[in-house]
Amino acid sequence: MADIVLRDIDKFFGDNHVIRKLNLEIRHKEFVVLLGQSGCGKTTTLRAIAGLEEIDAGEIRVDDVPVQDRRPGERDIAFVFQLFALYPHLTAYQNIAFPLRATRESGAEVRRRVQEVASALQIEHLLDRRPSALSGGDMQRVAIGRALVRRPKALLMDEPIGALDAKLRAEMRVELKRLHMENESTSIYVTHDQVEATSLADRIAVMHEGVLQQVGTPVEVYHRPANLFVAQFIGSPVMNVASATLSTEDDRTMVTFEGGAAPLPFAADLRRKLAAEGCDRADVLVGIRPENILVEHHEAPDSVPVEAHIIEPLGAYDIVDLKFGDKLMRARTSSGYVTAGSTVWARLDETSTHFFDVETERALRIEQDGGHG
Amino acid sequence: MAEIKLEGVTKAYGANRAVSELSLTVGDGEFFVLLGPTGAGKTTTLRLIVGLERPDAGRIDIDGADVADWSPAERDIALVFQYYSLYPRYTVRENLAFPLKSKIRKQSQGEIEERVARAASILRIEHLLDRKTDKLSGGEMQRVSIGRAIVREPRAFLMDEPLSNLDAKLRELLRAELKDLQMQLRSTFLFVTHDQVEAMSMGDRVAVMNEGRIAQVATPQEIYNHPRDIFVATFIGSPAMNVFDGEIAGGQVRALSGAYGAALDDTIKSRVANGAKLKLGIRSENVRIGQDLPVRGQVHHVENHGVEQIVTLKVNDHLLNATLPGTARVAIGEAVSFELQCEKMHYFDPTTALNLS
Repeated sequence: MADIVLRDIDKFFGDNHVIRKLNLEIRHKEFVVLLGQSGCGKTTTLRAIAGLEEIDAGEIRVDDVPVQDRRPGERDIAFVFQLFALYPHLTAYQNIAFPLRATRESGAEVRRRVQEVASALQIEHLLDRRPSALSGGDMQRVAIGRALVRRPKALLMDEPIGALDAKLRAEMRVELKRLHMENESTSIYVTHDQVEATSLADRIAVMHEGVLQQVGTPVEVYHRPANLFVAQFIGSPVMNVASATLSTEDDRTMVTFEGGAAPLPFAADLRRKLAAEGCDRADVLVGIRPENILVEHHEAPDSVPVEAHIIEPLGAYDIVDLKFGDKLMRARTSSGYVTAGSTVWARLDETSTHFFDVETERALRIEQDGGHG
Repeated sequence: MAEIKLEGVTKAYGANRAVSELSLTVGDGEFFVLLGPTGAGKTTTLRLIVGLERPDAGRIDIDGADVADWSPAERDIALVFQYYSLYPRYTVRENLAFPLKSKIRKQSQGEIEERVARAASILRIEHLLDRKTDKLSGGEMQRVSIGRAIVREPRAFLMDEPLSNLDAKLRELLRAELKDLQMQLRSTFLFVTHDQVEAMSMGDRVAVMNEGRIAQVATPQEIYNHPRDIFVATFIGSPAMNVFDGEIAGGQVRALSGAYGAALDDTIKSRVANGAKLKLGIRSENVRIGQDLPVRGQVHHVENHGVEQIVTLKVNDHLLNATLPGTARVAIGEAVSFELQCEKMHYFDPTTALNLS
């Protein structure tokens, strides 16, 4: 059963079409992350679910009840903002208890509920402090406590840890994940940070220019991106992409990058598989992640000689710029394996090579199982 | 072309010593990175070299000449900032030509055009030359700012976090471009950043700064593999190196409340007394999860970064990070066994924080 269903949502700001026919289901107890660059429509989507923005078309259902015409207070959804928005004159305890003031809970029950969330967030020792005496991380813990204390149907978070420094963000990622595992509240979380997305999400919804690009588990969006945008948005360093032409030679399909690179041999049935996906042209976009370019010092089957240009030593491994003709492709190698200026032999790991339609930039799936995603 | 040398340079603002007895030499044609957290004194060091600040003590030489009495213009060093200070109502071409039109330069129109064209070609912004700068993207604006530095053909380039305002993908692209640019120009680059990935990936050498002092100067590999102290060890590398308490007992080191024990190598043994306490450090890629390994723990947290996952292990109330391939299956709460590769272990003195190896 889905807790929250978005059906054919459209939203305009003046002439600006910020959400375009968006469809998304968030299941019970699920943690879904809306991921995208600034301006992609992710925050507007979140605010629409909360009732902070009106939608121009479509339907929002919470527990199977349409809520798009209800006021925010009637949707039973809690919202945590990037900026802490705590009451400065109230203590942490009073801030957390605030949403319960109108619920006619007994004093004992309010105390019990506040203690419960404070314990989950490990802020029991801070309950007597005012926000001005709290660190950024603790303020955000209080803000999350205030959202959870009502036991809402869903918890919506808009870049809740975006304003914290890197070290604290890493700590808060761990805490948020554990909190969700304990509380199991249905959560929708907005961020532009792919590490936050992949470490917190059960499923990630990638957005770009108001359009939902793909919804999938972190593993799916990394290994089976639906299109070129997702492929290059997820993963660091960015997936290499080259324009290439396909030709047939003996019993192999040859993939030749633009810019005078030596042809790379692939399986004979590659062209047939691409055609089955609706691409019968000879030109295609080839995507390959740095870890799937296999580099050796000596000639190996199916490999081509390439010159190593710049080496970025990152300690645990190196990122090496390889010159396939004029085209620079970045490969991940073990630390110190390749020296700048030397010639090495490289090939693409065929099962991890991605192909995209030149015009639509849609992924052309050629997995052995014939799976379409 | 220039060698920049600092000797015992100190600069204080009131009671706050921003830079303390700092000595370093940036070689001619070197890509040198100053790396450190906010407040480490990196930007003050840059401003002292350019001549925007005067040191309270110490000496700064450029190509062997003491520059204490030289104005910023005489030092002839170009500074590129985090915020692009371009003239918004002017075209890219006008912005690039501007530094060449100063009265003291007296350059001919032909020479100015030639230099602008060359800089635009190096930075691949030729197609933008007639556009106003407020119509550019962040990456393009930063390229134009760098172009404004290039046209001057300065003796050295100083860059203060020039990539910090850009998004992750663009930062990655410009990192490679800047490194490539420096290799083409063969100029001295002094680059300031708080981002260890930028420092490691671009620097020929890196100076790690902390609280106004230099903690270590070395190549990226050296800094990663042989950090001089705990600060450097934990500042470089992501996730940060695991650091925990250990104790020497009978030639053995014990840690993690008894879960870890290993023989000490002779060098370390000669430097510590029996019963002494020390700090142990190990990088996440040297914590290996597998079958029937000596240490047992529980998976506390998993972060999937695509190519790899960072797994936080809990053992006797200690937390340790391990790196696993992205495809390995691990779940939070699962019991696992693992080993710490003792040949990769770092040992630190608990009082001085210095590396004992």
